[in-house]
Amino acid sequence: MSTLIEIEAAADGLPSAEKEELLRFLAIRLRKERTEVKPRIYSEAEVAAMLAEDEADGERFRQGR
Amino acid sequence: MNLFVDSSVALAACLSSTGGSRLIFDLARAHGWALIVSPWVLREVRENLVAKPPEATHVWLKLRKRIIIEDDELAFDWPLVFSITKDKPVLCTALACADILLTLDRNDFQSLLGETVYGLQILTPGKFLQSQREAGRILPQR
Repeated sequence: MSTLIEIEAAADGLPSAEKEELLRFLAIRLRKERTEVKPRIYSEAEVAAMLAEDEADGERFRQGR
Repeated sequence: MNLFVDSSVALAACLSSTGGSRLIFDLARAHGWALIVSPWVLREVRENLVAKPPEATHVWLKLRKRIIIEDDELAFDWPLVFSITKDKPVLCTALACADILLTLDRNDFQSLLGETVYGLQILTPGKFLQSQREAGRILPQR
């Protein structure tokens, strides 16, 4: 059982109490997924833009500005 | 003065020897700036360096010796009008231990750059250096 249709069909066959348990399980998983903090991985374009700004700032500083 | 170094600044310092970020690391000791990161920032730097040339990691190992590591703060007592969850650990930790948060991350800190949040200034390294120069706090360079 791996597709959503198969899982829905199986869930249909569960008694009410187990349907509620499944609902709680999914709600907890979903909340966790949505609030989980993930480290920022900068894209090549983001890094290039950050370096361009940083190097321009470094140059400005060396020029005494 | 306590400066919290975001991963974007640490990464820039590793990748460029001529940028404002590297200048911050180079000038810190002489100017009494304490450079602070947290385990969260260390993790972000490490994960971003994986895709970079090995020299960048060698530089980071040297720069790391100049920084102080403070514990992560994942929550803050006062309300934060800050919608981006992924940067909250950085902001919360900086609020707990620093005067200024240095970042180059314009995507996630865009609305806060140049602003002050509960007394914490959020600046790019370039703006910080400029402010120090304008305040006459930059020592003559040899």
